[in-house]
Amino acid sequence: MKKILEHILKGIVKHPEDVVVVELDEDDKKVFEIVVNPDDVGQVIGKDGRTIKSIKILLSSLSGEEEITFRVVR
Amino acid sequence: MKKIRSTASTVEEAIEKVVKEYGLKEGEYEYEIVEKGFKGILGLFSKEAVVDLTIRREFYERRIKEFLLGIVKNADLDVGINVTSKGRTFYVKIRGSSVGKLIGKHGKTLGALQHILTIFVNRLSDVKLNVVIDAGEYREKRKKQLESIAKNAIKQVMKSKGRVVLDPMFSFERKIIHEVVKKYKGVKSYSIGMEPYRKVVIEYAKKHARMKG
Repeated sequence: MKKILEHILKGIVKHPEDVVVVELDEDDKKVFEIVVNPDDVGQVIGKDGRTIKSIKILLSSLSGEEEITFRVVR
Repeated sequence: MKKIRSTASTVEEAIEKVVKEYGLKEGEYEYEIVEKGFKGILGLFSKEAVVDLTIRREFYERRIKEFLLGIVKNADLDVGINVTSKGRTFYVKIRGSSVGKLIGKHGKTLGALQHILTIFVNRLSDVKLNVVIDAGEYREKRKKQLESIAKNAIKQVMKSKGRVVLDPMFSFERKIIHEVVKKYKGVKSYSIGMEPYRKVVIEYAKKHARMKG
């Protein structure tokens, strides 16, 4: 799942080389910490959070995991 | 779909620069020579070569396919992907036994994937490009279903001279309903509520009294 997330993020940002994803398990929940170039934070989140939400919908559908949390680290 | 001006000491180098930067393949670009360039005599009178390179739709079709393959392969999905385009719209068709995972409940995942692909392709282009994605003919079937929902509701409204409130739908689904309603006289439609629970209302429209003079 981490691989897919990295692949998607690298595809939509201006600075793919700055994308870092860290996968964590917190209280049985999957948490992904996302680091991107400050220039790309807006692009990753999207208008009204639509892009980050779309990525979340896709990942939970592909993995069957309902509880996924994304944290975009600034 | 995207035009890039490139300068170098020769025409070949100017082209190569862009081809390398974007990873263009044969047949995915065309170019026009603006200035041939001149090496000069002993470094004098030299002129740089200028080329206008245009990236063709074939490049975007390949990139969309590769991007999507990267997603489905990592998810171990066995599907076939076909990308075509017309004007500024790219049509992505996905087939295979595991398309269900890409469609999701009420097509929610398909909508999400379409949004991601749209963001992806627009990062590579200057002009706004659209992506329309369908998996296992889900969209086609859903469209027919929505049209019949609309027609049934219209019948009901005409009979009762009242209104019918439909279930919440995505914006592109509501659009299909509105388009059907437009074809009928004596009914009108509009949307109410906030996303993602926005719904279409189909209502009986009284004839407007015509004013003369």
